[in-house]
Amino acid sequence: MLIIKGLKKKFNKNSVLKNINFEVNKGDRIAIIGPSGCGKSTLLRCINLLEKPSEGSIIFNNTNLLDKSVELNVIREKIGMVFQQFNLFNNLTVLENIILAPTKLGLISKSDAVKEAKKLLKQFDLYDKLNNYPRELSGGQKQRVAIIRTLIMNPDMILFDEPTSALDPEMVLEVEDLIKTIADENMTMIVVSHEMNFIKNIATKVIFMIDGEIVEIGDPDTIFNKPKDERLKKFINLTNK
Amino acid sequence: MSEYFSWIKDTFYYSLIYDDRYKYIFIGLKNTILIALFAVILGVVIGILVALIRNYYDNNKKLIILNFISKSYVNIIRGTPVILQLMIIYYVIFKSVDINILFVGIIAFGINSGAYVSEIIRAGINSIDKGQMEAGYSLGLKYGQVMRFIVLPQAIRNILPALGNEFITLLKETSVGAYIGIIELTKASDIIASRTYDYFFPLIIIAIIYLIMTLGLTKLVNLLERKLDNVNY
Repeated sequence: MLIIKGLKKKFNKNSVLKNINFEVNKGDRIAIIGPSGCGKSTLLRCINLLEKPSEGSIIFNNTNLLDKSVELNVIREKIGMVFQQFNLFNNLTVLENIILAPTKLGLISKSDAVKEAKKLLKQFDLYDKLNNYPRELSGGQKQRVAIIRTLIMNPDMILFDEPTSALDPEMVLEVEDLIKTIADENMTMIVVSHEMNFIKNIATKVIFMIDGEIVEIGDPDTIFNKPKDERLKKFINLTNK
Repeated sequence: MSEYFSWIKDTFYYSLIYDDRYKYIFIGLKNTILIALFAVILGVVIGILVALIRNYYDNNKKLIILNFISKSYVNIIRGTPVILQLMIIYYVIFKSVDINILFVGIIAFGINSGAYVSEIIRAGINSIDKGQMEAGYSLGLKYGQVMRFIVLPQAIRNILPALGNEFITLLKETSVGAYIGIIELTKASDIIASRTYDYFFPLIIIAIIYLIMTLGLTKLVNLLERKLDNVNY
């Protein structure tokens, strides 16, 4: 579904990503871990081209996203993204936030979008917030709305950029539970997170990065229990404390 | 004391009543308002265009030439006196064209205002968190849709009061139009004074009229600001 080859990203002269290679297959749930500043978020943002890679290729459903002829907005419909800071549209209510993109892009009619949005809000226990504005919601509620906003697009894959890092501890679980529910429905996803227990719970594959490079890729059991790389061992020890 | 009163009575009479001179004030007021109003409308149209071109360039590194033109326009307008711009437009650009001088004023002040308005709108757009745009893009929306449905509705809260202030500035600035012979308020008082050889009364009168307009508008802008603060987002 997604093949990343020789991906490099420089900010000015500063190399943030150095030769990143990996593949994502349908149904994979990939977690990217690593110390702060290792390039995890940049990598994620490169995948839907919120950051423009300096070199390499990103092949999504057989299309190289770095081709000039690619209609980026059409591709992005299929790659959902959930942000650390939620980024709900402040001028719109919960319902409007959810239905804006699918209706304005002409994917579904407004009445169908409203129906679908209400269904999702009911399913995830947010129905009573339908007409509230983002500033009236808790962090956990905002993030759950943000996730529903990507779900209604019916994406092939969702990118989670530290979805619980900006949340108060007591709200982390409600968001993780929601992501878990989506994971159980076999959604393909890439998650950048510091919540190791959560990653162990949902990931099918874990990527460990340091200094813009992938140091180790493996299934969660190998990465967390039998890490090979010294730096990974150190990182795992630190996060277990 | 009674001498003093009779002087006031006389100067009032000769400045305003005699020969229907108050009509100059009315004409001047009408022209001042007309120029300011249409110039600010033109300024807003130009300003939005320039702001969007520059913002689009900042985000996508496209429209390089248009961006260069826009940037130069803003720099030139903001870097030269408005009276000079007015003279260039009247004496150079419209030199050989028979054209209503009010129209020249509207064009000149509109072009001038556009540069300032574009900066107001740009600042308004830049005040909106970048994450709002990114979230829009990540859902597949295009630049125009992101602007229209997400960024501008939020930016307008910061833009509107500043636009009100720009209108107030412009209202006062139109007095420069007297220089090329537009009969706006200042010129009107000048005409009256040139008949009576008494500057005191005509100048005080238009000063009061300017003040009433600007203070009134300032009140409105403040009211608008408070209204916008109560918006639900």
